[in-house]
Amino acid sequence: MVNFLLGLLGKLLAAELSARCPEIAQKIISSAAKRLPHSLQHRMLEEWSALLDDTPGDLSKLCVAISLYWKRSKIADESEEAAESPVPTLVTDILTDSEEDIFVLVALGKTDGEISNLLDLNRTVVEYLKITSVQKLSGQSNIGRKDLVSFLRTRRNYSCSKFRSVIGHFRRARHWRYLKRLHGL
Amino acid sequence: MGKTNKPEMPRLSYQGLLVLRVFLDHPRKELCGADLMKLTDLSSGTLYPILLRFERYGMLESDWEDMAPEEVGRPRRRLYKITRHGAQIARQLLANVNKPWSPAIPSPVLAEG
Repeated sequence: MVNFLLGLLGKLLAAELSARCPEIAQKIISSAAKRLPHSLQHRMLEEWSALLDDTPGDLSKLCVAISLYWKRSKIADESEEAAESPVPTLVTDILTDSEEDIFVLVALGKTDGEISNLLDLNRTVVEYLKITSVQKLSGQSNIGRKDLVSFLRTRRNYSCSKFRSVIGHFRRARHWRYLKRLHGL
Repeated sequence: MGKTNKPEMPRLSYQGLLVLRVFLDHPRKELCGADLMKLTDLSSGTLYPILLRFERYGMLESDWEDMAPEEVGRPRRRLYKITRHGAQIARQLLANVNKPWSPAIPSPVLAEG
């Protein structure tokens, strides 16, 4: 009797999951599209919705969506916008007060001991600023977006919310203390 | 494009060559993501970075299919087509891949003989 009930429950669960697969898949691609550069978001959402529509089988739809979500940063990196931008587009979307947040992230990386080559990057940053449209960052001439690129290279999978929380936390911790220390390098 | 340091050829992988092969086999056909996944046997997450890269390099062009989603009741497909420039590069690359391998430096033993 117990076996029969467990089997029935299993079947019901499988049916429920299968029925919700397309809906879940759609949510996954929406979430993946949101993490792309702004110019690609609408295009990819529509294109991937059509792809899901063309994919037979509920579970296959889910696999297609998961695969896209998994490779979202790679997809973002291949966009025209990303190619033009020296900073990963995931980050440019997040950084509203760019100057400040860049320093916060760089400083945070340094204090965590996670940027080992910051000094080397500092040497190249002035040169870097010359070839971009970015003006020299006021008061912090030795640190620029290049540092951020390096800092974030190993953190591609950080979600927007995680970055925001990191930035928020750091602000609360009076990041100027860290910036001062960093400036003294 | 205004880029100064962009190489003329995109980074290529085996999967990239597969995609190019499919387009060369169907030069006039417009293919959507689902077609390409079927023909190349690549996963969606592998295929889309390749498509975007080739598009960025002007090797592929894409456009929405000509229909109104409200009328058909499904989202529009994005259709990809190989450009003349893309076909030229693809032929060149695939010809290099198919070339029989020969060592650049002749073996000293063979050279002596």
